[in-house]
Amino acid sequence: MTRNLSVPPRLAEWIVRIAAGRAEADHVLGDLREEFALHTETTSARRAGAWYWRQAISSAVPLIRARWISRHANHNSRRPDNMDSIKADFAFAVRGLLRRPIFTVVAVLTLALGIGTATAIFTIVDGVLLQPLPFARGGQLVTIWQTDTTLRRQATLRDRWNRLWFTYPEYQQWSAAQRSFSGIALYGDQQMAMTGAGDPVQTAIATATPNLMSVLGTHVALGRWFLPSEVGTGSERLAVISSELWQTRFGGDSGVVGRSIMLDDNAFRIVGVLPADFSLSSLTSTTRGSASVWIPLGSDGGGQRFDSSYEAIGRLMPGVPLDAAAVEIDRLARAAAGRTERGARLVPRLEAETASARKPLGLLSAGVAVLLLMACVNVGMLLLGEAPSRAAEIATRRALGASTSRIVRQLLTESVVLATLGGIAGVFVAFVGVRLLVAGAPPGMPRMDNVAIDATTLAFCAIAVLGTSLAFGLVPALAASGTDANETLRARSGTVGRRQRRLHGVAISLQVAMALVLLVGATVLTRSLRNLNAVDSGVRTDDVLTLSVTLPSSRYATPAAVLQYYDALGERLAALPGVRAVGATSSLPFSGRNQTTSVEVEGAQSSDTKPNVQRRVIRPGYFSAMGIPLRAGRLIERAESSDSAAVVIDEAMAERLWPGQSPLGKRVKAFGGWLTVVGVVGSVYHGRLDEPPRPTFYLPHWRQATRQMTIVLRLDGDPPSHTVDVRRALWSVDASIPMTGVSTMASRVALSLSNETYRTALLDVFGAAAALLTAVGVFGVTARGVSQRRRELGIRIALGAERRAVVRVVLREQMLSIAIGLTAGLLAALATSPLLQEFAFGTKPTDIGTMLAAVVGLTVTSVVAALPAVRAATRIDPAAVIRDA
Amino acid sequence: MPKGQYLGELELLVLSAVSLLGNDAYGVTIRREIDGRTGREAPMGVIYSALARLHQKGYVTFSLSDPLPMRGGRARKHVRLTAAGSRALRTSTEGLAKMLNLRLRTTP
Repeated sequence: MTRNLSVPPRLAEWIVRIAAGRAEADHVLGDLREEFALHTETTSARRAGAWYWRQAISSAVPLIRARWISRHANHNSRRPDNMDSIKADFAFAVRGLLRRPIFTVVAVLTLALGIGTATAIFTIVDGVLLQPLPFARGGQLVTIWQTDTTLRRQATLRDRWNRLWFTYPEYQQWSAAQRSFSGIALYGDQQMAMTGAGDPVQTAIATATPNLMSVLGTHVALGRWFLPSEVGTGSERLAVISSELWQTRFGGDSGVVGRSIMLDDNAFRIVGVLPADFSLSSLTSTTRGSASVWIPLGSDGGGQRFDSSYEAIGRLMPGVPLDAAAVEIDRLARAAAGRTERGARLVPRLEAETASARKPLGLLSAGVAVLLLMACVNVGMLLLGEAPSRAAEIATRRALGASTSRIVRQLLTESVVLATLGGIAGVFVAFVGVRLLVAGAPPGMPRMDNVAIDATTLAFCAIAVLGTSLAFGLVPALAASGTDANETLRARSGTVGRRQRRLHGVAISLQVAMALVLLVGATVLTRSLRNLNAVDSGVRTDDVLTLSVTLPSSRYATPAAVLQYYDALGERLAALPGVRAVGATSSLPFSGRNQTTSVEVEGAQSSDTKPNVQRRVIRPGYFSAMGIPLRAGRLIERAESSDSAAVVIDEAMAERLWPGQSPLGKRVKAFGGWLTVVGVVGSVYHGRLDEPPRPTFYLPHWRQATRQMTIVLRLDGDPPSHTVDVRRALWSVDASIPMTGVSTMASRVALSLSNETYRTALLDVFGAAAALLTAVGVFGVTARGVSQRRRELGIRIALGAERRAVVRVVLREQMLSIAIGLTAGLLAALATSPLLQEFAFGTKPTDIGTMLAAVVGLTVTSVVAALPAVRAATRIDPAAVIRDA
Repeated sequence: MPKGQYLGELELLVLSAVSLLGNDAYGVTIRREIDGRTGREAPMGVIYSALARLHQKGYVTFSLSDPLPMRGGRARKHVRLTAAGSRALRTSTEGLAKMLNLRLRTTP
C-alpha cells in the first residue's frame, strides 16, 4: 500500500486553528494531522476525512475553554468564570444602589426624563417619517408634480410653482408615451353633500382613474373597483366607499354592494368597499386624511370638470432610477404642455406626504438629543460625585489585586443597571409623552395616525439605554479606577482630587453650554410665536362665526337659483337675535381655500404684465361683518345692477398695480370683461400670519353666482351659542344642505398657528427641562464640594475668614465653570442658528436680546441652585469641625 | 487536598494516561491510551482542555519537540507529570479505591 499523502479537510483545520488560538493551534493541528495519517492508512480517505471533521467540530468548544484556562494559568486560585463575575457585579451594583436610595432615585428619574422624551420623539419620527407607506413596495410610489417656472415671479403662486396639478388631457398625453412607470394614476379631491339617512353631511370625495388600485398594488376588500370603460362624463355613477363609511353608515353590512348613496342629489351605485388600512390623502387639500367615497374620474355630475386638476401618483418600473424617470417625465410633460417653462418633478410619495413635517421633527429631534446628552452628563456627574466616598473601597480592592479592567467593568455594570432602570421608567414617560404628542398634534401633521409605540421604538429605547450607560458611566469609571491606591488609603478624610474637581468643572460647563443652546432655541421660537400672535390679521376674530354652504349643481343649476337661495338665507340669518352683520365670501381667510386669477391691467406698458392676484366673490355685509375697513372710494351696494362692472380691491393690489396713484376709476380685465375699481379696502392676511397679505380683488356675488360660499356672522355674545339658531335658519331654506366648517374666526386664526404653537410648546418644555437639569447638576456639585471641604472651610472660619470670603471660595470654581459653559454655549448657539432661522419670525436666532435673556436666565438658575450649599458653607461650626478632626 | 484542587473524571483519566506513557505522552498518544483502555473516544479538544486545567493546577508541564514531517512540519507538545501531579494522582486513586471498598463491603 502506497503511503497516502492526502491532507485533512482544509475548512475543518481552519475551524480548529481559530478555536485553539495562535499559541495552541500548532500542537493540536499536529496531533490531529498525525492521527489523521494513521486513519488514512487503515481506512479510506473519505472515512478519515469524516473522522477529522468529527474531531474538529467536537473539539471547537473545549479548545476555546482550554485557551481561557491557560490564559489565567498564572493565578494560583481558580478564578470565577465570566458569567459568575457578571452575576456578582450585578448583585453588587443592585445592593450598592439600594444603599443609596436618594442618589438612585435622582439618577433614575433624570435618565427616565432623557430616555423617555427621546423615545417619545423617536416614536413620532418613526411613525411619520420612517415607517413605509401602507402599500406593497411603497418605495416605488412616486408623486408627480407639474412645474411652471413663470409662477416663481407671481405674488400669489410662487410657493406652488413646482407643486402644480395636471389636467386629465395633459395626463393622457404624456402618460401614454412614458416608459419609466409601470402605471400612473390620477386622483383629485372635492366635497359633496351626502344626503339620505339623517342630516346632510359634507363629505370628502375623491375621483380617480381606474388604474389607481393596480398602481397602489392593493385591492378592494369587498366588491370591485372601477373598470376602464366606466370613466368619463356620461357613464354610470359608481362609487367605492371607505371602510370607515361602510362601518358608520352601513353598519358593516356585506350586502352594501349594489345599494346607492346620494351625493349632491345624484345617486351613485356602490360597487366596492376599500380595505380598512387604505389611506391615500390628497397632498394639497387642507383636510388631511383619506376620502370617504371614491368615484371614477369624470362621473361627478358636473361638480368638478373632467379636465380640471388632479394629483398624479405612479409606480416606478423595477430598476428604473428616480432621476432617469424624472428626466423622461419632465420632457414629456413639457412637450404635452407645449411651453418650455412647463415641466414635471418627481418626489418619492413618502417624502411628498411628509415634507411639511421633516424640518419641525428635525428640530425636535435635535432638541431631545441635547436633553438626553444633558441627562447623561448629569448622571455621570452624580456618579463622579460618588467617587471620593468610594475611593477607599476601590483602593482596597485594588490593593487586593483587582485589575483596572475588573474595576471599570464593575463600575460600568452599575451604570448599566442605572440606565436599565431609567429606560424602564423612560418607557412609561414615552407612553404618556406619545399620547400627549399625538393628542396635541396640529391637524396639518401628516401620518399622525401611524404613530404608536412598537418593537422598533422599544429597540430604540434599548439602544438609548446602552448608549447612555456607556456615555455617563465610562468617564467616572475610568476616573475612579485611576485613583492611586496608596494615596487614598493613607489620606484620612477623602479630600477631592484635583482631577476629580476638574472633571466636575467640565461637566458643569458642558451642561450649561447645552442648556444654553436649548434655551436660545426655545426663546427664538417663543418670541416668533409671540410676534405671529401680535400680527394684525386685518379682520375681526373675536365675535365672528363662520360656516360653509355648498349648493348642489343639480338643483341650483342657474345663477338666479343660487342668488335666490343666498338672498333668502341672508334675510333669515339677519333676522336672528344677536346678529349684528351677515356677509359671505367664496374664500374665507384662514380657511385653506384660495382662488387666484390673472388680470390684465389697462394701460400697462409691457405685454407680459398679467399679474396673478387673489379673487374673492363676496356678498354685501361681508366687509362690515369681518371688520375690514374701507380705505378709499365706496363699497358695492345691493342697489347696483348686475352688469355694472364694479370691483373693490385691497391696498396690497392697489400698491402693486398702481403704486403711488389713486386706483379709483382704473380698470382691469378678468373673465373676459373690464372691471372698474370703485373702492379700496384694508388688506387681509389669507393663509398664514408669516406671509404678508397678497393682492386681492372682490367681486359681487351677483356677478359670479358661486355655489360654494362661506357665511360670516358678527354676533353679540359667545358666537358658538348661536349655532343651533343658525342651523335652524339654514335648514328652513333648504333642509338638504349640509352645514360645515362651523368655527369662529379666532379659532381659525389660532389653527393656522397650530404648527408653531406645537413646536414652541415642545421646545419650551425641553428648555425648562434643560434648565432644571442644570440646576440639579450645579446644586449637586456645589453641595458636595462644600461637604468635602468642610474641614478646610471650618479652619478658614476659625482663623477669622469673613462670610464673603467663604462664599467666594465656594463659588469661585463653579462660577468659572459656568462662565466657560456660557461662552461655549453662545458659540454653539451661533453655530446652530441656521437651523433655527427657518422657524424664526420677526426675530433672529442670533438676536442679542435672545442670547442675553438665555444667558441671564441660566446664570440666575445656576446661582439659585448653588445658594443652599453656599448658605451651608457659611454656617459651618468651626468648633465642630475641629472636634471631628 | 485543598478545596478546588480535586480532579475531575476526565482529568483523572488524562493524568493516569500521562503517568502510564512516561516520556511518550502527547495529544495523540494520550487520546489513544484512553481510547484503548476505556473505549472512550474523547475529542482532541477535550484532551487539551483537560491538560490545560491540569497545567493550571501544576500537575503537568509541557515541552515542545522539533517539527516533525509526519505532522505537517509541526512540533509535538510533550506532557510530563510533576511531583505534585503524581501526588494528586495517588491521593485521588487511593481515595477512590477506599470509597469503592467501602461500597463493596456494605452492598451484598
